[in-house]
Amino acid sequence: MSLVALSVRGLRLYYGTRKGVVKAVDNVSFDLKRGETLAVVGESGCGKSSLARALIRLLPRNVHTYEGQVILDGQDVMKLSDEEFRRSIQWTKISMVFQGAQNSLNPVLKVGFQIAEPLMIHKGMPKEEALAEARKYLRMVGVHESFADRYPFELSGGMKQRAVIAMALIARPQVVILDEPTSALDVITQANIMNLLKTIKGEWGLSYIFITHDIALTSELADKVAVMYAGHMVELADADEFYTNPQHPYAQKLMASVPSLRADKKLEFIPGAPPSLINPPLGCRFHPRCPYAMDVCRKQEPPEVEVRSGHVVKCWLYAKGG
Amino acid sequence: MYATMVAAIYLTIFVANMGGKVDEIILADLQLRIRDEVNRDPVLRVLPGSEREKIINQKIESEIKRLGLDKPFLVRSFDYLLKAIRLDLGRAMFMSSDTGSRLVRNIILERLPATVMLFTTVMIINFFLHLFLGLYMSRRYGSLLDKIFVALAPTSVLPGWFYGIILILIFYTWLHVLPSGGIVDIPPPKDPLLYALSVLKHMILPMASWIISGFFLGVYGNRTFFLIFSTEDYVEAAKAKGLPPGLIERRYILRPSLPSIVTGFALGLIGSWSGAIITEAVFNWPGLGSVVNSAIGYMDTPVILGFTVIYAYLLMATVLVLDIIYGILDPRIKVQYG
Amino acid sequence: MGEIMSAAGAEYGLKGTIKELLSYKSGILGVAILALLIAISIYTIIAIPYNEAIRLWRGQEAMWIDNPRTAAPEWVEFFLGKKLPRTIRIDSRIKQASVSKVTIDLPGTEMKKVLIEYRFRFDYDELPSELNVFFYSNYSGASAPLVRLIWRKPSGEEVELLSYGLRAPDDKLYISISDTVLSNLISYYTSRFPGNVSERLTVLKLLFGKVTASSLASGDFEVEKGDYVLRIEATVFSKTADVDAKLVVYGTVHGVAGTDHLRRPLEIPLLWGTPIAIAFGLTASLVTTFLQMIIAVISGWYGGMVDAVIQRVTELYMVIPFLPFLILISTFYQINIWVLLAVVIVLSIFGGGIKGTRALVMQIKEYPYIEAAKAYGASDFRIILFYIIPKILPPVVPGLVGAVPGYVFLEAGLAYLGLGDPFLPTWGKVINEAYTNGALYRGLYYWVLEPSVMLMLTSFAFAFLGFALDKIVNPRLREL
Repeated sequence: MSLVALSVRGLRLYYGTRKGVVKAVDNVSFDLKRGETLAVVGESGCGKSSLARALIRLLPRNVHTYEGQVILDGQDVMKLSDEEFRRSIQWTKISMVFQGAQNSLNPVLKVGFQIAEPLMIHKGMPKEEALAEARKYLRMVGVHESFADRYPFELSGGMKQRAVIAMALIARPQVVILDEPTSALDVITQANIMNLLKTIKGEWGLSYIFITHDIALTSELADKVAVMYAGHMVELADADEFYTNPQHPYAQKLMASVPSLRADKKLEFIPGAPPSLINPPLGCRFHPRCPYAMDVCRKQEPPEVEVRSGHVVKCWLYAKGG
Repeated sequence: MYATMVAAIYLTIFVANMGGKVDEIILADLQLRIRDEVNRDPVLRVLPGSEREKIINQKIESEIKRLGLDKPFLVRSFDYLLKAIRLDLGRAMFMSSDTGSRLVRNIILERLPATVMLFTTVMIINFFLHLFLGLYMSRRYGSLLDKIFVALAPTSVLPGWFYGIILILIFYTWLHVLPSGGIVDIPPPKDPLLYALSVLKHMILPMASWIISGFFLGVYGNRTFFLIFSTEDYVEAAKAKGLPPGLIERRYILRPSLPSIVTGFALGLIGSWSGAIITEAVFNWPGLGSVVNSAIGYMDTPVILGFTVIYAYLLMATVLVLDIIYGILDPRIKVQYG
Repeated sequence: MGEIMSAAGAEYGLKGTIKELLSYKSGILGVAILALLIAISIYTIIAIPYNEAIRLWRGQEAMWIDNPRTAAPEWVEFFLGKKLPRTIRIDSRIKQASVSKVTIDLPGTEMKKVLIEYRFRFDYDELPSELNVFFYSNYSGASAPLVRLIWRKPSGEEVELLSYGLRAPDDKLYISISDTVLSNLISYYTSRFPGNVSERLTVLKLLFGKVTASSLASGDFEVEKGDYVLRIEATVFSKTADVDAKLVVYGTVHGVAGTDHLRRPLEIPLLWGTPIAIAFGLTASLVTTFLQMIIAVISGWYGGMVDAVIQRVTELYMVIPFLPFLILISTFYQINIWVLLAVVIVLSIFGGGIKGTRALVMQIKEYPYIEAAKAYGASDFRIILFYIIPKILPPVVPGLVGAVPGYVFLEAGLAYLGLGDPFLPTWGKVINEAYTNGALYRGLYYWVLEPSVMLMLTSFAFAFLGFALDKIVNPRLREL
């Protein structure tokens, strides 16, 4: 049993629009160990949600480019056909908890049924058995199992979120992608959900990819942190390393913008707006907003530099001879 | 709901009587009845004309008093209302049903099946046609076919009866392949199978006209509708769950949209009853609409009034059925009512 | 200035909307057709003023007697590839080359002989539809003039058609349907070509056809093309009496639009139908939408009892059978088009369109800036007028435009049924008359097609506009 659950190399997802090709995910690479949580942070429109969709192959209609290597269990799943991917990978190996999970549930189907559905479809489990499993998982996430017979509109926001998590877990995947799972919830419910996630992670050895714009939130769960900017992954490091020693100028600004309860901190912000993904700036995509921008930054895309073991930064500041 | 219908019928009566027509009806009805009575009575029959007239007038007078026809209109209108609700619609002034009955109710109900046969069939055809084509098109949006449908959608602004006239012009006047109207060949074939075929032949053009009319907009509307429904988050979630596409279409797109579709259908049904009247005039179809047309021609007020009442009943029935179906389909309502 | 603040995020002013509209093909088409129709309407109203139109349309046959009955439009020729006869009218009272009139006194008497000769060329490929002679004579007392009509065909042969005394000073001789003339012609020709005689002979066939033994027998005649002469020899019995006459050889085609069963030129209802249809449709739609909007606003804004009542009334309206009611009312009460319009509006105001707008109003009501407005003391009226209405207006506009064809067809449909305004020349009326006069059986396509095309054009214009406007107002639809 290998240590690495998921290995991504050179993942690209571009899609075409009337105005041009959007390079939503541009050459992203990372490794995810078993039982590890990778937090992916960035501004709106940086491509983190697109990364999630690229991994689980939820592609838009107007896909332009979809390539790279995604190695799961020693197998490059990118090479599988859509049908094969659907049958063998989707949900059974990689599952997802969506942003705005409120609407992830079909309003005309009972909650329990929806949770049980993957079992019935993918494992061919008979309905009664699957429903029993569903109830078990509901209990596990802290929702009373009687709610299995209810419809989504009868559950509160927090309960729906838990139900959706149960749904993502029921097929026992290896990787669970969580795309802003708590952004629509109040702070208390948010805390509850985070606790739930921590518990499950501890018990099962699941790998999470946790996508959020709230960097403070990630500290609860993350083993590793990746920062996305304009479709590029600009920094990847172990969590502790990242929080104390962010290298990329953008990441540094992100950390500086997090308010602290204890210290009297001057809050920084990042001037400017995120760039268009259709016509990103030449060279380093961050250079227009970077306080350290150099000449080379404007001309050439920076390489990925491993500044320390397991800490990769995509920036000219650290490139040798730059 | 029932109250609404009652109110609608009362409104009809009120409006109609603003010209004093209801009075005329009742009076005419009465006079007819009494005249009939007297002329059939073996004792009175033999009396000379003038004598009989006197007796008739006397009887009429006393009847008027008895029925309270000399009471103010408001009171009487309620009386008519009660009768109308029970579908006691009185007698026609000039018309009679094919079986010879003068009862308005019979005249109208006799023609109802023809209308239902034609229009309900069309509605059902249209429903499924638009549904499946709309679903199919929603998967292919942006394609050439899609653009064609969008471009041709305005053709649905022309009502079915209009297409009917054009179709008759093409297929009857010019090509002589289909009949111009009626429900069956004249003389009607004796053999039941041939009779049925003849009826079917006569149904082609009326149905075609309504199918053509609703087609492009119906499919386009449904396609847009399904498109919107297929961009829902839970459809995305279903895809991520690795569910097969056919299942997603059925359970995650079709099922949730069913209440709205059914509502649309019911509204269309109600609209079709309306269009039926003119269509039946165009095709000389012996249904509910033709009854109205004849009644207009004869100025047979009780029939027209009665028709409006029956129509209101039809509408109400449709709305009721719609409510029930909606309740079954939408769990939110199902749960509320246990 | 006409700023329309839209609810759906499109920030266009009026100018911007029009520009955006024209960027869609459907928008251009709609605007183009509509412009054409409006141009027609304006032209019509100026060229044939309303009262004049009514007068012409209600004109009895006397007014249109010079026109052929149910004649197709002249351009039909191109499709049939034949030269179709136009109407030839020669009036002896008007000095012209084709007619000559000579009066001869008979010496020693009070009598005069009046000789009128009509000359015309007939080289069409089909027979005329009718032939009439209208007399304009004046004489006194019982001494009506005697007239003799002699027909000369291009071949030179002459036949006496008829000889009789005028029954009135303005006597009308319907030669083509006259049994006397027919039998005179038949006896003339059978004496020349003894043998079988077809049952299908008519006056016109014998007057204008190449008569041979075989054509007499078969009843099928080729047109004898050439110069024809009609001579009227009238004998009047007083010095002051006189006889004039007008010969009308009716064609089978007439004008740009043809004629109807009362010989009226169809241009009149076709042209006049345009402003009527547009006015009716637009007015009905505008007023109904406007009233519905107000009701929806009241219902949504005030809520509570008012809302509940309005909702109930709306439900009531749903159950009211619209068309039967309309039929009911127009049968019982003679109505003209304005009353019809009013009734249609009354029957529509609590219609279904209210639900959508009301929902929108209730949504907007909760917006913070409304609260803010209330906080600084703005009156309800002011809030409604300046905040709510601008937001609910845009979604309502496409529906408004799109509803116009419905109303146009409503009027047409009623006219088709024989209800509606009995005096107004509308398209629906033309279709109704075409239908009841057997246009479908007699293959008089033009009679049905012309008003139908106008109806279609009008409907499409508004439909295209409505669709384009819909796309502008609902940006979501643009992507779809």
